[in-house]
Amino acid sequence: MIQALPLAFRRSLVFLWLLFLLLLALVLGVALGAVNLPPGEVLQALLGLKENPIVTEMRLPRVLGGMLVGAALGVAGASFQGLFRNPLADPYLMGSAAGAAFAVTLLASLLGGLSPAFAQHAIFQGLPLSATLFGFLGALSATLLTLVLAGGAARTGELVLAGVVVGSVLTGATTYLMLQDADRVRAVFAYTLGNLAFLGWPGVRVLVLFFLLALPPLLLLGRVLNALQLGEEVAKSLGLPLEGLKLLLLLAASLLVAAAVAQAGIIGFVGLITPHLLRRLLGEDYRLLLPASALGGAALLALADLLARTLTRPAELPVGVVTTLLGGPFFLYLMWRRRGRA
Amino acid sequence: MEGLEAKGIVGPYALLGVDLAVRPGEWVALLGPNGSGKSTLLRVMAGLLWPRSGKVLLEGRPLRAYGSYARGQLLAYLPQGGPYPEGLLVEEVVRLGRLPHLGLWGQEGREDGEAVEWALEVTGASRFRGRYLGSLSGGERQRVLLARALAARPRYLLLDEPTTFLDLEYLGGLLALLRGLAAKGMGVLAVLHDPNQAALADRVAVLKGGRLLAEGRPEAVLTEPLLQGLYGQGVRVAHLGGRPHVYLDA
Repeated sequence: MIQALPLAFRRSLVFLWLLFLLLLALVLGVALGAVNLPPGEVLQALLGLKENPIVTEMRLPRVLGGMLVGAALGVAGASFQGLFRNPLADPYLMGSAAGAAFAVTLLASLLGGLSPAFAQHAIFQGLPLSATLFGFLGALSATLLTLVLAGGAARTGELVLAGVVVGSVLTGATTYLMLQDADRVRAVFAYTLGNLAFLGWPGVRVLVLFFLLALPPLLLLGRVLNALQLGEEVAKSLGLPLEGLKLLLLLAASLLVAAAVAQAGIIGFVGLITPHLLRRLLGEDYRLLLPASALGGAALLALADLLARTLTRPAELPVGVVTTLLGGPFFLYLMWRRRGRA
Repeated sequence: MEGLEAKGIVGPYALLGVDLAVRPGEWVALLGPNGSGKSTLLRVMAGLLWPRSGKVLLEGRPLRAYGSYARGQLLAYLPQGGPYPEGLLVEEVVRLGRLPHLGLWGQEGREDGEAVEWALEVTGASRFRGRYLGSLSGGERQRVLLARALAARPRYLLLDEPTTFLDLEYLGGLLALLRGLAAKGMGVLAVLHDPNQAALADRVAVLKGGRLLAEGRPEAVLTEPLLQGLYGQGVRVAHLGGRPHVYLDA
């Protein structure tokens, strides 16, 4: 039915729908949790009419930070997929998230504590920024290593295989570092599984900073990603300074991955699923797909976190477990469909 | 000096010293068996590969001396097959052809819109402008990709096997289009694998083992001895309406 509507209208509708989903996730995310708050109370607290630390100090930074993390993963996933012309390229599957997590854990353990998951502990209030920068190097190195091992990004099977190898080795190394501090293993484990529980306002500020840094170049280069879909030779023949642009895209996407991982650990599949679902609605124009993936990733992760907080109340699941449980079967479905087509 | 000229091209890969030129207003077909270096030579002339020795001149200036956008405005290149964006609308694909004129930040103006319309029109792609590229047949898709190359309104058009997988109806249209573009002053260089298609060009260049075997008007080049040397003893040439027709004597 929606196919019959004019294209521009259909596209605007998708964006409106995403914004609505985001708003819904915000309201529900703040209202629901270990304790459910009535909507009136939530509204009053959000508008600053009534003091409510559960809303302003705990849930709001968690929901907003979670949305930023989801947006970062969605945009990074779409960018990787466009850059490598590979529908399965994703920060999680390519090992870059594991690279960032390893680097962050390494930095934290070098500094005498463990991961920035402990931002809630006062000692780590200053860490997230440096951790993100360090994570950026980790994400970038892991991505490059995966590309080298796969012999480029053209062959999907090799790329995923290399990414899984790089990711597993780095996750193993991260686990080793974690075990050095047995007292905190449980908490760090929860962090590496992907967790928004540690997000506070300092983390949100770091995320905003990295967003402002990495998002504009990606959004502005949507057309370059479109041209890349015609193949590198054609993109080059159109005059684009491709080597520099590809590096810029890779750096910006890795920055987003690092920002997300430093704050929330490894959250799988958001970067894979979000652009895929949106591609079906919007096509593959990256000028639309990138901003839509930001909104969609934000809504998806905020809603997944809602499940993580409420499914096993009063206990919480790491949100990474929820996204992996939802995303794994989706990934299999994609593989199956590709095989069906080949 | 007008034209796009390759002089003494050695390397990369198979090329062992090739001279070839295409002038504005002429259609040149580049023919040769698999592995003869046709596609490589085309890429060298498009500025996508640099030769070990030799040079490419565009309007008398070395190709390297041009900025990449300036080069893209003058030369359009269409590879054989290659990846294509299934999820982009036809019109968006053709618009990408304006990138050499727009650069990264340029806004599309009237001239760009007109060029896109013209390219869609001459290739017969306008009627599926609103469809996704992935929903088109092979022949329709090829028209769109050609429209993308033409949207830059280049002075030289370099095509790698543009006729592969085309049915006769579209084949005729494409060959007529190439002739028409040349008649309007464009220099067209097309790698072809079918000597009968090459016979329709203004000039045919034959590449074998990285060297230019022959070059000239189709009737002078496409002779039985030459084609038998390329494709085997069973090849025959008949002359119909003054044009060579190549067939196999099975």
